[in-house]
Amino acid sequence: MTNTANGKSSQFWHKVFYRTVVVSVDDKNNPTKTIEKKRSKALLWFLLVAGIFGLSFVFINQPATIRMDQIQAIFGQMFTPSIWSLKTYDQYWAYLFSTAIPAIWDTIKMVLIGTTLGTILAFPLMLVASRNVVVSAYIYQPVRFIVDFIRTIPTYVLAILCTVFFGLGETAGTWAIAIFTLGIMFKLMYEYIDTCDMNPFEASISTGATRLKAFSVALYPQVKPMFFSNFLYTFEINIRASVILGFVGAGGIGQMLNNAMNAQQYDKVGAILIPLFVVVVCLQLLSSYLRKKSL
Amino acid sequence: MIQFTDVDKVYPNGYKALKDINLTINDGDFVCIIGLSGAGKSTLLRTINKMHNITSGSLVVNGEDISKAKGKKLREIRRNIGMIFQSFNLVNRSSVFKNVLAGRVGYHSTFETIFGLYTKKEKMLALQSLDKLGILDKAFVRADQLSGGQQQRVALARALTQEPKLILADEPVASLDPVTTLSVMDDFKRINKDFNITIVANMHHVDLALKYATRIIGIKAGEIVFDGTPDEVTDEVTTRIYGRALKHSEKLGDLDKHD
Repeated sequence: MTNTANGKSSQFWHKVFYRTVVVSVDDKNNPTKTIEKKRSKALLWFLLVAGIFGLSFVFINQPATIRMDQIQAIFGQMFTPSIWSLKTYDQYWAYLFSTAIPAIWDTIKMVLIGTTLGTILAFPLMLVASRNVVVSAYIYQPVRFIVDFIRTIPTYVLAILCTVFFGLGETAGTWAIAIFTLGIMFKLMYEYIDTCDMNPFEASISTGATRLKAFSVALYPQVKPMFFSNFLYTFEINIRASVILGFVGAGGIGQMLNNAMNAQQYDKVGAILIPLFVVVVCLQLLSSYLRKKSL
Repeated sequence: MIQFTDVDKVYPNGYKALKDINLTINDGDFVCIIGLSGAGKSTLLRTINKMHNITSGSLVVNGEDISKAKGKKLREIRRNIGMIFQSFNLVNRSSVFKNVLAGRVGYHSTFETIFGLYTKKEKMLALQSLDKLGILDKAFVRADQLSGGQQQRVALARALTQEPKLILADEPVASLDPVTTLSVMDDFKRINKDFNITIVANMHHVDLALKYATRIIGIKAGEIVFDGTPDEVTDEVTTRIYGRALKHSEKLGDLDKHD
């Protein structure tokens, strides 16, 4: 009895997971040959995700309403002078050009140095972490583990730690960005190096090259466009991340932005965000241009 | 000169790829190794420059026991051995010139390699290698812009730039069309004769091997079952190597018609 029950239930599950595909039919349209295909699990995943999404609405205690009036008010104030801080357009432009833009320029310089420093530090590590350049798992796995661990530190915490180590100011910000960059560039690049075409590498080894020389001759040309593209991408992320650095006194425009937001001077916030937006868009254009050109 | 003495090769999974190989290849030989896929042709070829290590026995290449060579010594032996691959193994993104110059990295420090500090003489050598193969006009074109036959010539130029005494070729024409195959094989022949460079090549096409080689080595299941001149390769010999005589349709055709 139990055997037949088991047989039936396993038949049932088999039908759940597999469906029959007809290969050929006879003249009465009856299948003469069939094969089985695993059913797609897309529906299952969709239901799971939709379920979690639905449940999260049930358990979040806040009403899911959007305060349109607030959005309108804040966005309106961002681009016009207000009675609270910058009283006229003249004052708005003066603030934009003499305070906001120079501050952003300083931030860009800080981010550029930090990103470059982090990339330089990441370069040898990404080589050691690629399993096709360094074959031994005893070397590349620990390196991956350590840098992956560094990457799990949230930017905010990293910024606070750096202000403790280097004191308040831009040095702390530069180092926070460098460490943050190290994590991102490391991850993006070693995974990319892992997927490179190894044939020219093998050819280079056969001419008597060391693994490092073979990398520079055979893999670096493959990696180069991605390297610069990722550098710009990281640079762009860092520009935005630098705002958080300012919140904890690690230099950059964050301090200025934080003050303006706390005082609800949204016109000043706007004057800072507009050039920031322009910078980020320019970087994106540059990076997509370089990527297209180099591929 | 290449001298195999009692060479065995066992892969880490226990598969015996080469069994008791005793073989001497003289300078200036044009050797073709023939045999079924998986017979050990590639393994045999790749032990010569230690891309695969042998398990036991000794293997002397140009007077040095390569099976015992390590590190710097090994790299110095390798830079005198050119290698050609079935899929050309060029850096697609780099120019032909850069690919050919890469044959010189064995002669430079890491620093010089990274910054591409090759001497003027070496740059000329690279260009002359391209000229010898008739593709000088492609020197500053990206490698992936070239046809298969041209790419294999770039690979040959890279090998020549090493100024080698020996060139190993692992299925050099297996991914080329029949006409290009013949012209690339002609290049091999010319390099062999004009520069007195020993050539050891793995071949799929028996009649191609017979046409170009001065010596044929037949290998079956990791053992040498034939070693002699092309004239000595009879149906009996191909039966020994492939398990049965080759039919006419399995050959490339009358090669002399293409000349």
